[in-house]
Amino acid sequence: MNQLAPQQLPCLHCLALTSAHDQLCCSGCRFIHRGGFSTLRDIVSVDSLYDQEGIRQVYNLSQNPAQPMYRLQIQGLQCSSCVHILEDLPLFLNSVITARVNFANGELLIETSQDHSLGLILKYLDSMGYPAQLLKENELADAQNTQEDRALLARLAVAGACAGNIMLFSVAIYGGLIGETAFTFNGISLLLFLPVLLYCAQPFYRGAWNALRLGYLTVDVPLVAALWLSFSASLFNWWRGSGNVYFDSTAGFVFFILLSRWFLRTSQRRWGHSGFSKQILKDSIFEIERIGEQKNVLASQILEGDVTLVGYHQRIPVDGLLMSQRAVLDTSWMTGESVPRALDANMAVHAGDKVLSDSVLFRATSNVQNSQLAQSLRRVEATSLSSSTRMSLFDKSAQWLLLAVFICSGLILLLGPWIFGLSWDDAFERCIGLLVVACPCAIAFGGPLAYGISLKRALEKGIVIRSADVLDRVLECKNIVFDKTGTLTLGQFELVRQTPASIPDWMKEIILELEKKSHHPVADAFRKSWQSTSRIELTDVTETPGKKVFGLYKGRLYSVQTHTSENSSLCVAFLQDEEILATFEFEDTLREEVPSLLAKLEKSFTLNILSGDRTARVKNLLPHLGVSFAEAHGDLSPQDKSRWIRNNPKSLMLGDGINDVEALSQAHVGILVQGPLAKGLNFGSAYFMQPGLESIKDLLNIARKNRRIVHHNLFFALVYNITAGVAAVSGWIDPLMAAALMPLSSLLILVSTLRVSR
Amino acid sequence: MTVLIIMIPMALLLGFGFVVAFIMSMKSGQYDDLDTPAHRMLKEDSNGRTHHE
Repeated sequence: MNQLAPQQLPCLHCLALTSAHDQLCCSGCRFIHRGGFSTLRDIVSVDSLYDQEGIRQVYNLSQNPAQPMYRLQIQGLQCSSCVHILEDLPLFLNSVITARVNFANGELLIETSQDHSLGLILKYLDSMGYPAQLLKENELADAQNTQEDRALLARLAVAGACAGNIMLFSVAIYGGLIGETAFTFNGISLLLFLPVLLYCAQPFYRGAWNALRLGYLTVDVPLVAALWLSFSASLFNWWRGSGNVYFDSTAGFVFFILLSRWFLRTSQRRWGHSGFSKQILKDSIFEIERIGEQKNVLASQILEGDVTLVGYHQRIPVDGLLMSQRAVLDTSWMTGESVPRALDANMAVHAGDKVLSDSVLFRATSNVQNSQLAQSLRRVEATSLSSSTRMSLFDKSAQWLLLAVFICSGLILLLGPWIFGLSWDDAFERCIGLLVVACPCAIAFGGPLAYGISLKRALEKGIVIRSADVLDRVLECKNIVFDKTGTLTLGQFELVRQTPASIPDWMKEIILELEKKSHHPVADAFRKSWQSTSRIELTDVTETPGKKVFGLYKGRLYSVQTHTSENSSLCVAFLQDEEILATFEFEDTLREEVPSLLAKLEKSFTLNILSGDRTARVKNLLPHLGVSFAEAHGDLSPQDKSRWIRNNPKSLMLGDGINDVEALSQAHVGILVQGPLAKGLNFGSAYFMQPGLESIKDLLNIARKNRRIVHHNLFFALVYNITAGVAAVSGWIDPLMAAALMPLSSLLILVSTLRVSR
Repeated sequence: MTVLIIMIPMALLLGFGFVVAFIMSMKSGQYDDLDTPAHRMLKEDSNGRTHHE
């Protein structure tokens, strides 16, 4: 079993591994362990925007006006405690009548009373530690998927029932039953086999047809051939009253294969929604002014020309022109630039920028559909859809094996009578025997099962993988490419250098007081580094966002303002009147786990950095990483990044921002390290649900183990096929042996595959 | 062996009944979410909450 990473300890309540500082894995465990949440009284301000009728209507899923129903996307689901606590929501909030969690999809379905306050419910969930987002009806990912799941399950059930019952009648025949009754029994088997052939096997027909149309061979093709050949042979033999009847073993393998496919299907998580970027921006509500009229609308309802208000820490929903005098924006999503930008009135703002100053007014020059962000996402989606049909290692190896079996049985049928002097009858019998016994089960069953289990394991470790072939592709990569801002670093600033080296307490007091009301990252960094000890009063504190903040204390003017530094890091100066007393430099905080992780990855991969941030800042970071990089570039546009990726085809890329997505979608394996963002997007190969990069190690381990098991299975299938094939061709296999060998081989594959989960 | 004339239809009918029952339960959504019930069953009765407080 995996060794515990040093910082991972079992949760004090539920024993799930966690790296949280208080050793409790989630809010649910925290609640139960400590026995208390913030109560309703603690919630001061409620976002009343959500309680306007027009907006409620958009989210309400229920037809019954007396019982509105909402579906929420919940972040932070970890363990059973989360399920319990969230389903206990009606005990905390009277307006919630029922609450049901869907753990796998991270969703919560609530029914509420008529006089509910959506704003309050959202706020309460947030204070519990489960930030929630409302989902609209057309965003419910899985209406169609659920239908398909159910259809497959129904086929599985029918196949299971028919195969089981056919088995009952076959046993009597193996026991030596002959004559009239045997004929009747086989007839009943035939009737029971028809639903399997005509209904349950439909997915195979579709798969085989698609494969043939596109000109390649998948497991489905020989499966269908074997299915129909053995059916016609059995029918023929039954009618003439002699020879073998294969209804039981054929129905059995249809059942086993459907079972393994259903398992693989349910292990693959729903990935993104059709359409794009819905969850990123459209769900927020904004205050706008349209032709002199003020109202609140959803981002998707904003039109060109609307004057829109965006609050602190919200993301700007559409492109526009700034109307406020000044604004500070975090543009790292779009550009990768780590230092916030200060803008003046009439400068362009872009969808996806995050507001760091108090609140910002701008005039929209686009709507959600045609902003630059939307356009780039659409472009990415178009490219990623076209490259999504790649074959897994298993499919490829299976192809050759199957082709061999196919050719062999064809040869026996055609050449047997001439070369070996077999009767036509005998040759046909042996050909069918080979196809049924040797061919598809071990391969068609073992493959999906191994991949399914690996996907499930990855999910337990917080890695969501788009499709099974990603597990193979991860191991083909030679390069690992990192984005800088938000991937290697946290995207938060910390104080790294100051002159003079020690700052007297009175200065700290004044600086903290000056920055008290500021939302600028510098203010946050000051607050994180220093604890305020006493209280002093400054008068006339004024902030010009992104530039300076000043105030009076004991008749002197103190200010903190931006300052130039030689290595282009973020720098501010502290001034008394006009004289500089101290300067401070800030840098983006490196993720804690990065240096040790890189040291491990360096052994098997070439490491690279592609950043949209300034080259100087990339260079500054390198010494802290402790490993050597093949290439480390700054000042790259999204197009530059994707060009680099195209020139280096076997690359695994890790990124977080919109400026990475084009490159991510073209990389051999593209991983988004920011799960909540990735969930709404439809590209890339995988994403991490847990913050940080540790999951890449787990992903590599799982992929390696998966490959080993798949190789074992293929090897076993090969040995089995050759042995059973030779036996079938020489005519040593009688029906009873065939009937026994089929499930036995499946069982062996199952045992071999289940080692993945250990 | 005449007993088979009754027993075989009975056995088949019984099997068919179970398939119908399964498909009905599936249509009601019982198998749509296979992960959450595993967590749900670990929960104490809702008044068991006082136990922790």
